[in-house]
Amino acid sequence: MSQPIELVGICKSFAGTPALRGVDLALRPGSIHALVGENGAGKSTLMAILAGLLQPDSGTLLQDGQPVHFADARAAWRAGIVMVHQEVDLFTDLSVLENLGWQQGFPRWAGCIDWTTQRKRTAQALAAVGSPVALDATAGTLTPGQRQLVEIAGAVSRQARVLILDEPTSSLSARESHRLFEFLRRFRAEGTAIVYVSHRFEEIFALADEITVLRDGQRVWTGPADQTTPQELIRHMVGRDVEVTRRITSSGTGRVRLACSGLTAANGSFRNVSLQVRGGEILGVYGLIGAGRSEWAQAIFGLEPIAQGTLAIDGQPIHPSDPGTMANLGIAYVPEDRLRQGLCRQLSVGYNAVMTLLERLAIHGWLPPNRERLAAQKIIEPLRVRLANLEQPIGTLSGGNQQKVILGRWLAREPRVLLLDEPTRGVDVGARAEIYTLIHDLSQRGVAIVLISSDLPEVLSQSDKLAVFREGELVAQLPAHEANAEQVAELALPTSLAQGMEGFGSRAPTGTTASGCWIGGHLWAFLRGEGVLACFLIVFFLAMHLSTGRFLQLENVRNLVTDSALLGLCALGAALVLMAGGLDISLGALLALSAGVAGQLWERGASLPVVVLVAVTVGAAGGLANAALSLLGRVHPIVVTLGTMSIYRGLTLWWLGQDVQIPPPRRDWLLESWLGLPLVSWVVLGIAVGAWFFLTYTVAGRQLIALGSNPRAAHRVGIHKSRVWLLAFTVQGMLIGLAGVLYLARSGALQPTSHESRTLEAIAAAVVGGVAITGGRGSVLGLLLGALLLVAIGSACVFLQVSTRWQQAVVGAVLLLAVLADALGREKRP
Amino acid sequence: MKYFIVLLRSLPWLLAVLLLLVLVANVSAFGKARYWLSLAPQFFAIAALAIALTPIVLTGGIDLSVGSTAVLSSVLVGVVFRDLGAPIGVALIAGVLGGLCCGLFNGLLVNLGVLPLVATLATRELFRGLALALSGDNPVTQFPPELNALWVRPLLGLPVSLWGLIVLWLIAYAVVHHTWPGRMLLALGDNSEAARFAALPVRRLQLGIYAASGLVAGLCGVGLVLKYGAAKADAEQSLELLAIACVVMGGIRITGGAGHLGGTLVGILTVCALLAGLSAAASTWRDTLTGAVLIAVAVLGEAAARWAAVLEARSYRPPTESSP
Repeated sequence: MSQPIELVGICKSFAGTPALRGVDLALRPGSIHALVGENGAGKSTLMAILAGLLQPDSGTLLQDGQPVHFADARAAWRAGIVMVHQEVDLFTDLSVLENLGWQQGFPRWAGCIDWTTQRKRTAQALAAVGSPVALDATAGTLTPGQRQLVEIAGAVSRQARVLILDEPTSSLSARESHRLFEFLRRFRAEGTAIVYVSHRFEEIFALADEITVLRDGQRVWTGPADQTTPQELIRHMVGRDVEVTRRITSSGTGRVRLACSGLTAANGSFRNVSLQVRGGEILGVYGLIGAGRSEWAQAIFGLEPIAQGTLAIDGQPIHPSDPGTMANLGIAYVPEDRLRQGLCRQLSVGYNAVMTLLERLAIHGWLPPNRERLAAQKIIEPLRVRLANLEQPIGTLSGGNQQKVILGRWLAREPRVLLLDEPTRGVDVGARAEIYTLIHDLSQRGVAIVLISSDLPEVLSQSDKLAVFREGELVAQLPAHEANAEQVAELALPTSLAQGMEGFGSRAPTGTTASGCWIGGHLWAFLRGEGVLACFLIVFFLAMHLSTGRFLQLENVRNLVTDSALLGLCALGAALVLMAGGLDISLGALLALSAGVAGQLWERGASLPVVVLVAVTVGAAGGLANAALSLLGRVHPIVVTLGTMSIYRGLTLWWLGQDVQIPPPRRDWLLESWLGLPLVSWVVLGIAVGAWFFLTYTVAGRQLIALGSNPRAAHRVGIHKSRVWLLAFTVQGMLIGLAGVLYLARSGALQPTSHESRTLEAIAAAVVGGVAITGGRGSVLGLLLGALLLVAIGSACVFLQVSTRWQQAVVGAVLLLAVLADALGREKRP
Repeated sequence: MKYFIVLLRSLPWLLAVLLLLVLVANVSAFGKARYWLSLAPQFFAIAALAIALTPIVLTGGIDLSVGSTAVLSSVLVGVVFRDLGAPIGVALIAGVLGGLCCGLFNGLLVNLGVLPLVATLATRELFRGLALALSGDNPVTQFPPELNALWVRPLLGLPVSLWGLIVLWLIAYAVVHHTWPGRMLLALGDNSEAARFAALPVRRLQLGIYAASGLVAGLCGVGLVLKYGAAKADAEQSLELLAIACVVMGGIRITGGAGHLGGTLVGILTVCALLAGLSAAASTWRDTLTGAVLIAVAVLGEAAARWAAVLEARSYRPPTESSP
């Protein structure tokens, strides 16, 4: 019998703090193995090592008895180990259909993506886990529960040997969970080894064959599920020597400093929380991750909006508005995520210490460096932070010392209420004890302290009173000396068989379409997107024609089509780079350069194919240079293209001694009509169709969009940013080169400083047509319509006898509106 | 080792100093002090805008619309003076206020959540367009001759424009490095989320720095009017680029969180010297060289900063934990 995977003696430390200490885990095929333990026990670390996301410091992985090594997640994936994470990281701009494609691999047909087969596969995978989500629904509009099911569907359909599920039901409703269990049992019967990490004992005992308990990075118990009970498991999970001194409970006679009643978050992360904290009292808030504790504390601090409820500090009712006001009222909040929410990592320790005091230290606004330094010294000294000097970047300190500095910055504000969110997470034992002493001393001075923690012994030993949160609600309050560990742990555990709860914190899904026929889905998407723009254009054209009588005349229409074809070509180039998450403001200058170089050859008698080839080559070279400098130099494209814009402009001035003139006979044929429209527009249309095909049916094209949508997830599925950007920028350059020749044909002349405004016009056309400035979204049809709109507005200005002087302002205004709509729309999307 | 790290972090403006020395050695005109003084009126706009951009870049933002704002302000002066018939003093103030409004507009956009890059790219076009539209077919060229005299006549031996730059730099230096709003800018640039959690007034700060940038751009617009005696809407096409080049060459990190106004000063001196030295040569090379130098300094500076960060992390390994 083969052994899908075995872990032997795994050890792992992070910055000196051990997370795993010699853990063994053996999985048998065709079994469900549950992994339990408190937060911080090491479950996530162990699973990350198993799935190839982390490398162990020591220990071995064995597959079928042979040692294996997974260099990254893809290697583990290829070995048949698939992990479904608790934190779902999908491409929010892309459809469910496509997200699953990135997880499983796209089916190909003649080198292109076979969407029909992909639809079948996705439908099967979703049906298997019982997800009702539509294939074409945008991933960003799904509820957390739906997203989790999609992630699971992607993982399970891969025929894995080992399937790891990390808290899979944390966002699922009861019904969804039941369906998942049926599926898992079927999978087990087929021989897969399943690792099920969860806090929910009912589920574990319903599903698991074997259970392993981790505690403090060590494996404390492994055995069959039918040979143990939930109480015994809890005892294994929490039983440990309490190393820290138990707190001498305060008499609890201080006045009430923090009182909240019926507090409910606007986004539903916590509901109806009512409690009081007195001066000198430490309230321990225990609960699992996602129970709503941090959200509650952040709401009090003014970081999250409140829907209902009242709040009072020292008896004075207040309405939390913003952190600045709340801090001035005497509330302090030490955040949970030190790295992202607490530290300015590259700035000095001294600066980080006084960050909250800058306004107060100043005298009439003036803040000499000496005052800052002295204040920093006064704050740091009593904290016993181990550092070389105050000037060193805070990122070089250990976790415990960093935490002390953040604590210090708020202690210096002399708060009335101190909210501590996981203050000892990732902190070593020594610093931990020091932090407890600091908290204790603070309580002696009458401060009301809230200690949010997932560390049960900590919360039991350091609090006077305990509050237990479970799934957004406050379920219990009791004095600390009356509580025992097992009881509190049990109170915090979610009841997975809750009736009628469709996953708390969920929103009604928007944007889900009936997963009917393919054409229907596309039509609906069109109507919502480009359709609006098309309707607006039709109305605009009709209005213009009615008011001037000449707008829709054949000659004008032909001009409009030609000009918008040319602008559309530029917009297509700009869109490719924008969709990939880049930005190129040297577009106009590159246009002029390639047109100038090629134009000179044309002027001197070169044939058209040669001219086009030269222009395209110059454009490609320029685009390649932009990409290479951004990638290699690791400088933001804005700086690079600002520089190259200048370089290309200079090169154009240098190359073209004088203006280029192309006599009409050589170029008129490009403007001749073919089936009613100028030849130029047919060329552009053909290219646009090619681009649409590239973006819709080739893996490279989808990679481009995926990269712009979510660079992190793109990296995870193996998309190389460098390759995509090199392609996008170079193709943009080529399209720009071609556009240069066509513009030259259109106008017959070129000054070295022509086309300066083309960059903004191209970007405006793209953004109006639905391309997201930050990447990940866009349509070829949309940007063509956008180009038509811009050109039409310009033409309308002429007809309405609005001076051409206003044209640039109008373009700017249109771009501004489009950009504003994009930003505001981005905030609304989840 | 520690000095090497400092060297790495200061690489951009060390390169700038090097470039400066090369120029001084090779261009004979640079030897005379009077020549340096004559640069101030010539490059007043670039220098002033670089100073105004520094606080914005420190927060990790950028303002590409400063050039257009300056031009719009100068056009406003012309319009208010000639078309509305106001006295010249009022017109000048109107120009400055116009710049301030443009800056406030940018600040509002950034506070609404638009990326500074994108917002100012759009307003750059909008403001320039407004300038073109307002100035009409006949730009204002008849300003009172006293204005130009004001610009040209030296005050206590130095050109008025140089005094203006000195005052502006001193104010900027004092505010950014010695007042509490200025000190907060670094936090915004390093980790804006942490700044928010530390109860810093992020929105007010952003509004302030963009408004200040607009105000200075308005002053530049007034300077343009004084210098040229005309308000042309198509003037000064590459002010933004040159101002940003000064900032980058001064070692201010483009992603925010590090930099000093002393560096900006060095950057300004170098870029202006480069431009002055090149003005003798064909103007075609001016653009190309400026762009190349900007990219080179940005790339080298970024590489040096990364290297310095790695070395620093290694050198500050915490001492072994000893039980208290």
